[in-house]
Amino acid sequence: MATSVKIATPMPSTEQVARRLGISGERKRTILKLAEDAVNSYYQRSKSDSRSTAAVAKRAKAA
Amino acid sequence: MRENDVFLNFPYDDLFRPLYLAYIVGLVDLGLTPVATLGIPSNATRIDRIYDLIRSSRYSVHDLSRVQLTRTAPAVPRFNMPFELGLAAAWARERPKRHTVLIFEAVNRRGHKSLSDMAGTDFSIHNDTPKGVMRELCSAFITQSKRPSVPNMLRHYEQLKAAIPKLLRNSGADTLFEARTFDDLVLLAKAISASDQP
Repeated sequence: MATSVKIATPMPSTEQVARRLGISGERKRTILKLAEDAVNSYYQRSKSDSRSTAAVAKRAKAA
Repeated sequence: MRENDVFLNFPYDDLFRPLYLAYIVGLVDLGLTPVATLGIPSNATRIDRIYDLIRSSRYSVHDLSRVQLTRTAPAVPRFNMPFELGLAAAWARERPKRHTVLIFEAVNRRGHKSLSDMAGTDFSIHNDTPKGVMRELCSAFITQSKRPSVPNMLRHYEQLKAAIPKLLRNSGADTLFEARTFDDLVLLAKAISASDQP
């Protein structure tokens, strides 16, 4: 039994993973779009969170 | 044999959901493709199909953190996970260059107590947290190219979690523990990993 193992194969592309899983067509497009939206909204949320944190800090400093 | 496939042996249980997602994200970020027994019907051929899945995977990851009594009566120990570990361990002994077995647990030394046949084998201890799963996966799998970091994995985990309600709505599934949803989650994790390159 191993505790660690070296991965001998290169990183597969998204296309290769989709093919391996047998996911294609509309189903694949929907999942890829979902991923793009998830990443974009994560960064938008982080940006607005940091803006509001900065605004709170500014208000606190002014007070 | 599929060189990137990892047979994932874990409980199909809502309480395990955070770790289930952590395994998917962690393995995908490492360039691996998790496969599971979801979708294999409980009939006479089930064991053959599980064994075929193990034999076609280059690696297997066995999470023994939920080997405990079931919550519904009659309370029975959950033997599926150690049983599948036994199948994989036998295959790895037979073909050490074709299959590698890795064992994960939440609590240090508990696995050796319940499974003393594995004395001498180190278990990866994840402390029952997604971060712990990712940390242990990064230690267990050594990549040739750029090594993914735990903070990146955690970010992808948050992004995946946020997309789940829509994923379930799109597929009409009620649970994440279905074969089709599992495949969708793997591809979603891969696409997130590929899109999120800060």
